[in-house]
Amino acid sequence: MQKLLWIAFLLLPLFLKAQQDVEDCIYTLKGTVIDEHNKTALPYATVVIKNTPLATVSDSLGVFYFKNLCKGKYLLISSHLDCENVEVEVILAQNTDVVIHQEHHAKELHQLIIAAQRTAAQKSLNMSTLGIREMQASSGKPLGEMLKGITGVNSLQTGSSISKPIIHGLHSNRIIIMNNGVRQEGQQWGSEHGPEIDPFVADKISVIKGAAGVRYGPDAIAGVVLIEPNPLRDSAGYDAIVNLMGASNGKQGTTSGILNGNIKQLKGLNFRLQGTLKQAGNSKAPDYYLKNTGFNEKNFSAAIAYQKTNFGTELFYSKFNSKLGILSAAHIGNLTDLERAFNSNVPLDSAGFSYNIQGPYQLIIHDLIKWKSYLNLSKAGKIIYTLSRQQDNRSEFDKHGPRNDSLAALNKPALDFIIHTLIHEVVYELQSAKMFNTQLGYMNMHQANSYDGRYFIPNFNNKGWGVFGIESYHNKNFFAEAGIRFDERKLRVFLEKNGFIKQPLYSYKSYSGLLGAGYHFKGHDVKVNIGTGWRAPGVNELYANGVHHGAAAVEIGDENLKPESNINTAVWWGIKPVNKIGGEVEIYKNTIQNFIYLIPVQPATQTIRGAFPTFKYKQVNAVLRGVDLQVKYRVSNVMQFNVKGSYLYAINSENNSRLTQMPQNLIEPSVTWEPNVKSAKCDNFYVKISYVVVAKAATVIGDEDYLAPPKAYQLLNADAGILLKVKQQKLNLGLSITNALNSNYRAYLNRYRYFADELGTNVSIHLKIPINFKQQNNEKQ
Amino acid sequence: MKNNKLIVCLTAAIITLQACKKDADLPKLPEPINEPEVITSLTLTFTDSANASNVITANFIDNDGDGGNQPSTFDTIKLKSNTTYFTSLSIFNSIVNEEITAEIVEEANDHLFIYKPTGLDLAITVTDSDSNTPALPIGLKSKWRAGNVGNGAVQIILKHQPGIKDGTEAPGDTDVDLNFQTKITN
Repeated sequence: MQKLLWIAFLLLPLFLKAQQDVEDCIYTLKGTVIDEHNKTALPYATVVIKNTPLATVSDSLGVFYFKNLCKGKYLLISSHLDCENVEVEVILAQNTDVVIHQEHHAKELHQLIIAAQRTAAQKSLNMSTLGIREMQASSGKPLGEMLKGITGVNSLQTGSSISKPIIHGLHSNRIIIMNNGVRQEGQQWGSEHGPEIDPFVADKISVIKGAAGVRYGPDAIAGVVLIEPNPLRDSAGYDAIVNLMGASNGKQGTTSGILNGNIKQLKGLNFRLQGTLKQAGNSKAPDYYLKNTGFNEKNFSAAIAYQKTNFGTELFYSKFNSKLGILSAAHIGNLTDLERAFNSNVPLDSAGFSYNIQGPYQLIIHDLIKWKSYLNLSKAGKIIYTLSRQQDNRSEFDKHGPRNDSLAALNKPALDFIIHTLIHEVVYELQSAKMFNTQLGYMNMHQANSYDGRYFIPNFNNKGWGVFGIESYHNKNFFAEAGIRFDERKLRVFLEKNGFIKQPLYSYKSYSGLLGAGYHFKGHDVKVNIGTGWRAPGVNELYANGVHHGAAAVEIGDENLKPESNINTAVWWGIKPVNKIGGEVEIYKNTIQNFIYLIPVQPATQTIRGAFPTFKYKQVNAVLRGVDLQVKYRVSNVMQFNVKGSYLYAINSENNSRLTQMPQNLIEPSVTWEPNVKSAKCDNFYVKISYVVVAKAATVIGDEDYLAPPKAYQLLNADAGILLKVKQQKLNLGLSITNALNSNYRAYLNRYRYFADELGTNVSIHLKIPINFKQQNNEKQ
Repeated sequence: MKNNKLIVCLTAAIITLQACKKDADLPKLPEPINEPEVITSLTLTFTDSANASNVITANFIDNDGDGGNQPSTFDTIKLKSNTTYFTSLSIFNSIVNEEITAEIVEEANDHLFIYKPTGLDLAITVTDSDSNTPALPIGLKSKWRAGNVGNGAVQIILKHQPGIKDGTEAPGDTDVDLNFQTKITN
């Protein structure tokens, strides 16, 4: 049945082709000119097609169109006041969307060429992308920390090295992370299991907030994180980027490099090599070092691709390898120890600075291999096929090894999981001349997990498949879209009970959907969407049974849980900063039925180590309402004032009580100063100072948490950057300071909050060196 | 035409891959829990100082370790009033049938048992000591002096204090923390 469905998808374009116009020159080339530095649209750029009389000017949103073009290769030249010309080569085989990154104030010819094809699907959802400056200022940090730069995104932390993104209050199994086009699959159920991704692979990091499940999978109840590398080089030559980063807190050093090549002799063949090394020692709270919080990472990725107009294929491999120390003081025996730790001003187990990592620590190795191919059927659309295999090995070592010396010598982890995931995806895209866009897709996933050591979750097999279709219409000022998806999931669990193996099978199937529309008028954009999704209970929610030493709690699963389902409604209003003021606001409501949630139960679990507070997975109906806000006000040519804020009110709608483990509300005013220092030697100078005001987390009634949430806090942060030119070599230099006042504070969603303060002042220096070998070759000629 | 060929190729590739992956990665079946760190039972043996044949025991037994089923045995300690007992303590892992007391003796410099009677006329003194300088108590052997009749509890704590043992309860991790109901009768 599954196979028949996708064969139908593959055949569909052939029928559609028959209905198409016979006329050849029907293609529309739509483009957006974007300021390379702040990623805002650049109006009034002149765009011409080389060797033709065709020319146009981008509108107030930076958008331009060329209509009725024939199939072929075009060279676009975009020019703008104070900018050097940018040339972009476009291979036109269907209606195409191009983004031109114009380097404002740039002096140099032969700009880095970026021509990205962006999918138009799910446009009614709010997507935010980290700006270049934000990416540089947070480089070297874990992915979850970098994403905090986006309004409405928080992080669930375990110290400073493990950080998971939270979108609109939800995390882990309710967010899908698309790493270079592949759904990231590891042990993402665990709150101290960070995403196994090297952010240096990415050129662009974005978050889609809301019910993005129709395209990516119905379990994206909160949203999707997209990690996208630069497209591979499309013109012959070589270029490289070197990133260096050093931070004072933890004495962290990071080196990352990318080499891109396009081999002239083998037309269409290009490759990329990328690697990152990270090393950090014990980080420091204002008054003491945090013992055993060092970490190191050794990551590598390689891509090779053959790309032509009608056909292309790419092979990508990446290896993520990380060793993460867990704060010694956070590994405790029982509730008495936890209370003693909480009431002590200084962690009970402290030390000085060291790069040494002892138990407890985590060792994570994540391998991804991806094969992606596309077939361009010109008027009949485009087919993209992706096959990927991931292997995630997570080993967790306890604080003290076995008492027995021979067992200790084996140095075996206390908990060890290996999960394999195989995913196929076929997507068909068709953009017709009448501004209709169709996307159809099929996805299939097969997963197997096994463990060694202490029991926490059982072994399991997880099989799933889904089909989706999204249709959208857009004209100059209006767009509308509708999507539907069907998924089936089968989870087989292997349990040992009294010497017998039990193999219960859980089977789920359901629909999800999306309806959305948007309207553009005089610099304003309004988007409205309503989406539904569902999520099968995770194996930890069904079968977890064990002590979580970091939280001194026993977690117990419930094998009778039902799937969660949600309805998410959002309204987004954006004002382009054409005049002095700009900004955006999003209001959302996410209603979740059968929300799976840890609830304390009585009696506490009696173990030989004492009584542990016990939490069981239960289901409640939940409603999450919130607002994300961002306002920009340009005070003068060199000064801009900015306010970002997010507010969330999450309740259990059965008794109207507040839900725990939800992010704190916050507001962050900032001021950016950009004096004009343009000269032959330097450019793009800025200084940004921000003040983050974080409210106290909701106080919980009853015994939902055994310790009260920490106090509200404020932080002063700053960052600065400059583009230097030494001879022909460009250097991007950045400096950033977090917690400049060295304040003592504890964050509610940091699992170390029971044991130690957050980090004190951290000063980091970031250097990015782009190297263009091709240019040097030209000079020789 | 070339495109159609490619479709055929792609289709064939997908079918092959779909077919090949079947059962390729069935997970291993779970193995019985084999965690050497687990302590499943604790036994207290009381010998009357005036009459060596008068021996009392009290047990805590949780054969499946932390979590899972609740402990099968959690005895009340029943002592005679105005009696002194020599008490020895032993711990055991029934999952791998391993006597852990001997290991505690081996690593005595890193371990400490603490006894805390509440609501009772009961004086407990630890009688053994380790090879630290100065020597610090271990707590596998102790002397219990029961006075007047009464009901209360004795909390027994085992701390693992590698390199940080100072004779007090504060440092290290808790390996055992049990609150035995205790009765002193005539």
